[in-house]
Amino acid sequence: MDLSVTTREEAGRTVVEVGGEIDVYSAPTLRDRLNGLVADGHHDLVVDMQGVEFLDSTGLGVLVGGLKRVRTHNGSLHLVCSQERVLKVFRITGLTKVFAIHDTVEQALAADTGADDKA
Amino acid sequence: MGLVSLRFSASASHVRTARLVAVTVARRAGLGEEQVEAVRQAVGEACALSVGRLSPDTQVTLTLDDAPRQDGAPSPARLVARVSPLDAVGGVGSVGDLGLAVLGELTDHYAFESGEPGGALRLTWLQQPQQPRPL
Repeated sequence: MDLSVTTREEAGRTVVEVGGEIDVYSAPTLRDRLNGLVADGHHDLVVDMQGVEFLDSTGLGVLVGGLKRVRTHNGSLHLVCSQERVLKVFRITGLTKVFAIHDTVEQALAADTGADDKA
Repeated sequence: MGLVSLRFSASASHVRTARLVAVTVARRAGLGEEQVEAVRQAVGEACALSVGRLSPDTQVTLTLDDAPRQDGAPSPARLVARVSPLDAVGGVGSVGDLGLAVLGELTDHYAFESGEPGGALRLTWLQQPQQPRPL
């Protein structure tokens, strides 16, 4: 399935709902969307990955880039993901220590936006 | 069943096709779902690494062998995937390193081969022993 990216404002943050496959082909599209959001002043992001079917290291690189970018604006980037298949990629790269990963959007929205918090 | 070979232009859009072929071969070879997912991820990473270093007018070759020569190894290989051209040196940036970290976790063994121009990356999954569930 092709990548889909939709955004909405919720509880003062921008929820970025991502679906499909984030790979070497589609990751540049996600990177452009995240960069555009940050450039438009959306610095507190919740990336909802519940609809993501596949994530490769290029996609991980884009998420790390997004995290660095929001942090330069004292913002936050929280992830929502409960799928074992996708979580495994974060785990084996050690990135579970870098990202706050939540089971639901509600939990992500309830978490602090502080750059140093961890779910 | 033997060998399946896929050759494609070095375009990121074809990496998904390569993953789909790899998953199909892995399933038909009788690998468990966890190993099938590892094959999907690792073959995708390897093809992405290769594509990322080539111009679009060159070609990437993925071969999948579910009956590889065993060479008397104590743990028989169940599936071998090979992606070429891909060599160990040059152009490995942070994302490439991330890709290699993933490969180390997803395969039972991976190795770069230098026997042909451009090199190749060989990914091996072994026969999984029937293990009792951990307590």
